Amino acid sequence: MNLLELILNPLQYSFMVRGMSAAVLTGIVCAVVGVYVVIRGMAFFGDALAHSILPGVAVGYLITGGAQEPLFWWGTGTAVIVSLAIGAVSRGAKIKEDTAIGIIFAGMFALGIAIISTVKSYTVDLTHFLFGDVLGVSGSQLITIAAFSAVILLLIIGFYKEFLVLTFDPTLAATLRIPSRVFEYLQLVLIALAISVSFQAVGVALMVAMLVTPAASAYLLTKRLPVMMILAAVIASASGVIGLYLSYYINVASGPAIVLMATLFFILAWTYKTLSGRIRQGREVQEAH
Amino acid sequence: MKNLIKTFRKKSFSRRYAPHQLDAPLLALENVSVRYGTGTVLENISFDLSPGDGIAVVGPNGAGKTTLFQVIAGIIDPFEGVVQVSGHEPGGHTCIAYVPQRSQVDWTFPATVADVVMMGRINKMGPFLWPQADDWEIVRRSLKFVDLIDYSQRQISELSGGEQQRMFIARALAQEAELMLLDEPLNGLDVPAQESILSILDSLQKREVTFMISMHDLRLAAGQFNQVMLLNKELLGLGSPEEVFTRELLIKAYQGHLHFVEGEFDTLAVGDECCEGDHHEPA
Repeated sequence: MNLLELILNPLQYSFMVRGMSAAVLTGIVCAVVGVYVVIRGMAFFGDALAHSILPGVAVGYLITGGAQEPLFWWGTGTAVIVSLAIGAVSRGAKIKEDTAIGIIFAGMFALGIAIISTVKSYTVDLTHFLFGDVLGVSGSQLITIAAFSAVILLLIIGFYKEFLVLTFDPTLAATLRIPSRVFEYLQLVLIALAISVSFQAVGVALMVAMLVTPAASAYLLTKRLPVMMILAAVIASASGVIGLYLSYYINVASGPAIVLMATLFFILAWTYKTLSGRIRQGREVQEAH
Repeated sequence: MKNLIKTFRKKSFSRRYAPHQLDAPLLALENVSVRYGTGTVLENISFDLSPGDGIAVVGPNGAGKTTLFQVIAGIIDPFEGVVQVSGHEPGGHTCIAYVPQRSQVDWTFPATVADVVMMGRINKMGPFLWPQADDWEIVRRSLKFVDLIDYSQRQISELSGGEQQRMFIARALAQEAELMLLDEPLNGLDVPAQESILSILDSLQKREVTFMISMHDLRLAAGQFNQVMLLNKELLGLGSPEEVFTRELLIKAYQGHLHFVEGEFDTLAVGDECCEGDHHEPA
């Protein structure tokens, strides 16, 4: 079998094509949103938010009797509500923010599993909720994912400069009279939407990897925010596609395969950064002598 | 046509900012007090500034220098009293630049020097619009003014302390600020870096930009500025260094925390709480 056949073979199955499209779309959205998650140090928030959508999904699962498509809306609704709740709680909190997030995170996750466990044969679906089932994406689900991805990306591009200033220097945002609180909450909602869009692809347990790993790799490779966003999106898409090929040929679960590819890219970026730093240092020492 | 659409978007989406009343003072504070919880940070502050004034604000740590700047910039509201910039409340103005302390910013942020200076212009562009050629031209001129034009594509973490501070001044210039509030810009800088900032302030003053600069070094304040303000929760003095840095007022401001040394005037006092917030009792 030559390389072309290796590449084309899986694509004869429409579920593979749909799965790859979904993996690329969610990869791009999570990576671009994830740039802010990484820069603002919100990885724990992202992880918690992903886990917190489980009870919403679980209630939808019970009510609709296991139908897949309505689950997206249940997940989206829960993610948005929880993100705003965490934002509000951490603002006027009497406890530290990460503690508040930890409490909400574990409580919601437990609630979700408790609800799902009331259904007798729940383990297969629970596995999908936790680790994703990108190859099970239907045509209409793909359209929903595409539409939401477009909205998220448009908002990020449209309000790029407002988010930039708010993230870098909130005091400047205040003196430029940017409505900071509106954009703070919008940023949280965008993270929530990215999570609900990716729920089907990677599941709640591995979601944080899609948010932070490609963005962190890109952070090591560039000094400008727009470049970081593009690089992160490229790395995430590549992870999605390569991960699914791996999943097809060596028969590993698709969600973990995608995440492992993203992790591999991070290791490569980190190695490159470390080595090039060493080489530059060495050259400077030589020049100094 | 393209320009017409742009103008339309700028006009229809831009928020309306406060107009400048020409007969009003550039900055006027009247009986301004700020309290947090039960503590008073500023008490009954009143003063006026005219265009082109450059004032050094000195006082011990916790004197309320940063809070004063934040009230003037409209970032926090006074508990009592009125702040007016060119006749209107500061919250409606975008011509006030607060130049932050360097420690307030994450220097590993992925941005170049030009990117940061461009941030000063974002509310001039209108929503959904990206920087245009004229914005980049203003950024270029601002960087040239602070002598950082060769550094415009550097990552901000590569700058020295003095260069970081100059970049922030360039950002305030790009913002087209008429009133700059510089929060301890000389802290932690060596003498040449301090001098370059001071000479930039000089040129700013020639361009009729008004500024207030908070600092710890009384001798530097007296030597470099025609007007100084002595602050410790209340306004203890505003005027020439000779009028303000009197033994009586300095003792009032610093209480036990100063030493008197021979200086340009009969005696000069140096606070011992300089820079990083040590609170040693004098021996």
